[in-house]
Amino acid sequence: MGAVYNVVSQYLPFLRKKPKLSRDQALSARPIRNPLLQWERNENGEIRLRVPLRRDRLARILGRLLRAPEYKEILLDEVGSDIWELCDGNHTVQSIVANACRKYKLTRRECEASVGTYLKMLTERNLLGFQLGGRRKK
Amino acid sequence: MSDTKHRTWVGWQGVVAEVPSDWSLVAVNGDEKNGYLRADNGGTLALEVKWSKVGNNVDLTSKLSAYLEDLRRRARKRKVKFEHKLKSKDSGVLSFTWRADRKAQGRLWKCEQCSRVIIAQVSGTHSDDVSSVASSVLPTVIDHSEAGWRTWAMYDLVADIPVGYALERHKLMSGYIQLIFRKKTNKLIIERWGIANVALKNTSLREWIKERMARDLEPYDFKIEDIEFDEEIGIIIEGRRSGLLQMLKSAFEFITFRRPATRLDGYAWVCSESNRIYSVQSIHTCREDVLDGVLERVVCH
Repeated sequence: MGAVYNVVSQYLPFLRKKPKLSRDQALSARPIRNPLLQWERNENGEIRLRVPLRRDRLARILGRLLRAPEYKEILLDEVGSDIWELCDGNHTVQSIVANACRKYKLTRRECEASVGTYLKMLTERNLLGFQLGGRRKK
Repeated sequence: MSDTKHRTWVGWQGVVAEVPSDWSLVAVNGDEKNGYLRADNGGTLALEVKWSKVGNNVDLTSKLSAYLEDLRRRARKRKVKFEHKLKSKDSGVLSFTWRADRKAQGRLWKCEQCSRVIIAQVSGTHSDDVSSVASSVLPTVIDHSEAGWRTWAMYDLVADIPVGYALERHKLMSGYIQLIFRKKTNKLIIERWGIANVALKNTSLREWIKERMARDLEPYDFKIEDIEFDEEIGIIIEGRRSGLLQMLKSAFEFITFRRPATRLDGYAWVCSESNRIYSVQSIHTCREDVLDGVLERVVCH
């Protein structure tokens, strides 16, 4: 049954079970920014992300018809920008939480919840990925 | 507690405990009569407190036996061996320990003043040092506050609310806490926002509060003045219900023999030490004015 599931889920990604992580595993994961993104800090200290849009044939035709821009821009707020900057594959979620706690004087529980939700949101938009265990290969 | 710097308070419905500073309130339910709170640090150790209102003649031993029997039944369902010990009985406090897939040390007692039976326990895994944590945390569990007041404590906010005010609504969100209490038509609202330095980056406290409370302030003819609040930036809000709809509302309250709460008084301040914004508001009748008393008892850092 397991072997069948593995084969089927290879071709039908929506059937794939999401890996369940323990709290410790989640805290020791290292968020890494999507390398296809371009980003820069503006004069207010906020980060502006440039997310490239789909470039398949249909998207190109629609883009030409609707004069869609090549990039979608996302402006992160101050706190979000600080977190984004630390998502370099060298910092664990735990160290990002600790950093935000220290900087913004939040309680650890509040900070964990906020940072966790924020990172999850970025991941769902394919702006971030996570490396589990070990250090980032250079 | 000797090391008070590294400890914090958690409290709900007047049941308060002093816990290590990295612990916080993670679960609450119930009301003043029957309720539950849990505090932990996200790890395996946790403090749980359960309270229930009882009559005059209550047998504490049978209450404890019922509690332990319930735990035994649950352990049996999980096919886990359950052991317990009733450790001592002094000054009306029953101490107990139990061991199943987790282990715990706790106490049960009845408070004669508030007529509640309290069960407090510290639990953890077999490898946790439950007894040392229990010996530092359990003696700090208080089942009622100073006469006439009930303590609420969470995420570094400690507030005393006059007895008679019941919790109507609460929001415990990351970066925002709101507690709304009601006594007849009177209302007390305590709010706390995090990351004040970011929130007030391009605006003043007065404008920020105005924007945040625009909807709540709508029924009032109000004024906001800047004040210095314990050497911090603060504002004072004063208002009175105004408008035809509000007059009708007041008239309805009169008809139903309730004194209408037509006045709004409040304070908001920035606590630079904790980087938070606090607000205490009272919507009250002309006879009820508890704001200053509450304000004196709000601990922001």
